[in-house]
Amino acid sequence: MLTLINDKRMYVSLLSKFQQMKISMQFLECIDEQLTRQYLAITGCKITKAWYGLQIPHEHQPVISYGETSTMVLGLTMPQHTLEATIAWRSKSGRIYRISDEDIDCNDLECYFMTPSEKIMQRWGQMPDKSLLFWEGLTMDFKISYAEKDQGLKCSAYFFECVNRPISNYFEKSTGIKVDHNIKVSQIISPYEKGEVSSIGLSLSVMNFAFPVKLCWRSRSAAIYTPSDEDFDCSDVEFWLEDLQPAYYMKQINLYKDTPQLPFALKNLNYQLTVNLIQTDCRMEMVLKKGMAQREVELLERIYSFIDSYNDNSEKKHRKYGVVHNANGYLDQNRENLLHLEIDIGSVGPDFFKKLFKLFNDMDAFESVTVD
Amino acid sequence: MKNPLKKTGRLGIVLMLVFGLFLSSCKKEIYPSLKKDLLGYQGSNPIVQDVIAELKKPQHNELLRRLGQHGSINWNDPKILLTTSFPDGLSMRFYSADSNYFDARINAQTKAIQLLDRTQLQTEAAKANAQMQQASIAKAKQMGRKTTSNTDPNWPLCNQPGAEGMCQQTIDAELEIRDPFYDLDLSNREQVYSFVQTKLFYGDFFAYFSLALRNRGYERYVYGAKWINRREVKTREEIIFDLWNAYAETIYGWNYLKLPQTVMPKMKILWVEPGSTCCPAPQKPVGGGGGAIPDPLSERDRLLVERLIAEDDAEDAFLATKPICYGTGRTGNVKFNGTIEHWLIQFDYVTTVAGGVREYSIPTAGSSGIRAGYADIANTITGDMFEIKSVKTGQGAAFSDIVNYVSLAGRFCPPPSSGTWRLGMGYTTRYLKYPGDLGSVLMVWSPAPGVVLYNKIAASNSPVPVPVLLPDNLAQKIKDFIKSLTIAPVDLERKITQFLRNNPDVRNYIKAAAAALIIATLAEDFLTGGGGIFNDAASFNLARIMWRVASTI
Repeated sequence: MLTLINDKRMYVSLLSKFQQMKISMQFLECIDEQLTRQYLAITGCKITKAWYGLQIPHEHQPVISYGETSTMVLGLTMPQHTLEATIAWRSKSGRIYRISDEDIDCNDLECYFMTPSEKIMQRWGQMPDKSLLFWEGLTMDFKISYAEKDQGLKCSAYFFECVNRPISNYFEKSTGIKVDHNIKVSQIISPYEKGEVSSIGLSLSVMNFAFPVKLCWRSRSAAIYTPSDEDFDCSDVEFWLEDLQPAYYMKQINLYKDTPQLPFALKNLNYQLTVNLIQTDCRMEMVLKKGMAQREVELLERIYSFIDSYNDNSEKKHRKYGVVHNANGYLDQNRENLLHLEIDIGSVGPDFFKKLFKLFNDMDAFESVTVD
Repeated sequence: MKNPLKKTGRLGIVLMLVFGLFLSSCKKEIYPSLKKDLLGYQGSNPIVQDVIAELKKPQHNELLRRLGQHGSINWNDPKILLTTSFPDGLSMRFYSADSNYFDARINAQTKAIQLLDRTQLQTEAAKANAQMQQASIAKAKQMGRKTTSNTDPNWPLCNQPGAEGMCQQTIDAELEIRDPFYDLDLSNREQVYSFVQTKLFYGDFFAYFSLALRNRGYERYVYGAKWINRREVKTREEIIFDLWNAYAETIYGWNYLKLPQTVMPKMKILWVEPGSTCCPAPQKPVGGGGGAIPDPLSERDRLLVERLIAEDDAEDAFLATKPICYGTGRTGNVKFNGTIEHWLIQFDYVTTVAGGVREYSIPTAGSSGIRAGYADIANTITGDMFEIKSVKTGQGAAFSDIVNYVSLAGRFCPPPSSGTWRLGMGYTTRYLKYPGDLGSVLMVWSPAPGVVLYNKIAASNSPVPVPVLLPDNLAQKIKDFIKSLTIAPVDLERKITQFLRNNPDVRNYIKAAAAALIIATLAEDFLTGGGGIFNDAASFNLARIMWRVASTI
C-alpha cells in the first residue's frame, strides 16, 4: 500500500545530497505510519501514486523548530494541489526528538498535521477529477504561483475552488464538448478587470493547444470579489466564460482522429479495446474482470515486466524498436474495478501496442481497455 | 572704503551656501518620496520593521536607489529561507512589484541584518558555484586515481540485476606507475573501439567527444570538450589525434589518461589537402582511380562523407558495447500525438546546447524498478536532465520522474563533466515553429528545475516574431529529395551531401535557420498529408545528417 512517504531512502538521500541535512529512517518510518493513518481517515482518499504525499521543498531546506512540540514544514501533494503542511511531533516522555535521531521509540512519539486544517484537506481530497481547473497535471498551487510570478496576479486557491464546478458545467453546455483530461485550464493570465462584472484571463488547453478565454463573475449581493479573496460564500457569485471557440476546439480534437492510430487490427480479443488517441503520455483506463482488483499488484508487475523485456529486446538491436521511458499503474480512487495505466511511450511505435494488447489478452483480466 | 573683493567673496560664500542648500534640498526631494513609496509598511511584524530600519540607514542609499527602479516592495509576504549560503540564521526574501527581490539576512545570534539585492545574490551564488565546480573537478581527478566502493547501505539498488558493479569504481594501481596506453595506436579501431563526436555547436567552434580505448587488457573512456573548427574537414583519425594532443587543453576533461608529452601515439594520416604542410607523406584515399566510375562528389566531400559514416559507425559500435547509460538520436512514431513536439524540443536542444543527448538510459529507473528508465534530455557536460511533458500532462508527473532519474543517474551513470547530475537548470523559453499548422507556435518553457513543458499557442499570441518554415520552393526540393530516398534508403550521407552541393540555396538556408526548423519542415509534409517517410524511425537521424552536412560544407 502506498503511504505519504513511499521512498524513504530517497528522502534520506535527497535531504543529505541537496540540503545537507540528516534525517533518520527510523524517524521517517514513525511519522509516516502515523501521518498516513490520519491522512486516510481525514480525506477518505487512497494514495494512488507514489509521488503524492509529503515532499521536501527543493528550493530551500525544510524549516524545522525543536521544542516541547517540534515542527517541520513540508509540502503535501494531493492529486490536484500541493499544500504547505506543518508536521508537528511531541513525546509522551518529554524527550525532544530530532529528525536525525535513530533510537526512536515510536510508541513514545506522537505526530500529527498542525496545518493544513482537516477541513482544507477534506476539500482537496474531494475535488472532481474531470473538471476544467483541477487535475493532477498542473496542480492549483502551481497555476497560482505562475500567475503571481509571471503575470503579477495574486490569486487564492479558494477563489478557484468556487470557480471550478460552475465553469466546467458552463463549458460543457456552451460548447457541447465534454470536459476530460484533454481539455484543461493551464494558466491564469492577465488582464484582470475589476468591476460590477469582473473578469480575468484563462489559458484553455485543448489537445495541447492554448486558447485564451475570459472568466467573468458578478455577485448577487453586489459585493465585488477579487481573485485573491478567501472564505467568501461561493453561492453569492455567478461565474461564466466568454470568448469560447467551439469550432476551433473540435478542429484540435479531430486533428489526430483522421489518421489511423494503429496500422493493424487484432481479432478475437477477450476484452473490448477502444483506441481513441495514442499520445506520448499514453493513458489507459482498464475495467477489471470480477475478482481481479485484488490482483492489482500482480497484474501491474506483469505489465512492467513486459515493458522491461520489450526494452531489453530493442536495446539489443540499438533501440531499433524504440524504448518505453516509464510507466505507472494504479487503481481508481472511487471505482475499485478500474485500473489506470499511464505510459510514457518514449520512442516506441505501433509494434509495442500490438504486443501489449496481445499481452492483455493473455492476462485475461480485463473487461475493456480504453486508450485515450 | 569697503573692499569690493571682500564683498564679492562674501557673496560667493553665500551663493555657495545657497547652491549647497539647493543641492541638498534636491536630494531630499528625491529620496523622501522614494523611501516613502518603498518603505511603506503598515504591519506589525518586528523583524520586517527592523529590516526597514536597516534599509533606512545611509549606507543603504545605493541599494534603496536600485530597489526603487523595481517599484514598491511587498513587505507583507516575505519568503522565509533557510539556506546553506547563509547558515547563521534565516533570510527573508522581499519581492518588488516586478518580481525582483532582495534578501535580508538576519543573524540568529547577533540579530545583525545584512541586505543584498538580487544582483549581489547572483554574484555571490556564481562565486560559490565556481568554487563548487573547482572542488568537484579536483575531486573527479582525484577519484580517477583511486579505488572506490560504494558501501552506502541505503542503496541496495547497486545489487539489482543489470547494475552489478556499477557502484564500484576501480582504477588499477598500476596506472599510478605505468600508463598502459603509452603505445596506443589511434588509427587502430580495435584499440579506439568507439569514437563519438557528440555535438557541434556554438557557431563553428565547439565539440564534445568521447573515446573508448582498449589496450593491454585495460579499458577506459575519455570524455572531453574542445574548441575545433568544424569547417575543417578531417578524418576520424585526425580528429582523434587532435583531441588526444590537445587533451590538456580540454575544458572539462579528466586528465587521468594524459600521456607524457614525450610520448607520441602512433598515427597514420590518410590524406590531407594538396599543398598542406601539416603532415608528412600524405597518402591518397583508396578508390577513385583507374577505370572506376567517377564519383560526382569532390575529394573534400568524399572525406566529409567518410567522416560522417565513421561517426555513425562509431556510434553504432558504441551502442553495441551496451554502456550502462547513454542517449541516442533515434526516435518514435510521428503519428502519435506528442511525438513531433518531443522531436522539435529535443532536436533544438541537442543541436544548440553543448553535451545534449536525448533518451538517456538510467539503470533501475524504469517502471519495475529493475530495468532502465529514460530521461528525455540529458547533458553530459553540465549534468542537466530534463523531462518533457505536454502542459496537460503537467509538471507533477515530470518532476516526479526527473527527481528519480537524477537521483539514480548519480548512482549508476558516469558523472557528467561538471561532476554531478542535477535537475536541469537554465532552460530558456523558446517559441518553435509548429509544423502542419501555419497559425501555431510551440511554446516551450521550464516552470521548475528539470521540467520542460510545451503548449501550442496561436501565432498571433506569440510574444516574439514567429519563425518561418523554409520557403515553399526550397521545402519542396527537400521533400522531393527525401521521397526519392525512401526508394533506396542507403548511402544517405553521400546522397545528402551531393544534394546539398547541387542545391546551394537549400544549403545556405538550412545553415542560417534554427535547427528545429529542419525537423519542422520535414514533418510538415507528413502532417499535411503529403508523405510517408516519417513513419519510420530513421527520419530523425536523416534530419540530423542533413543538418550536420549543411552546417559543415
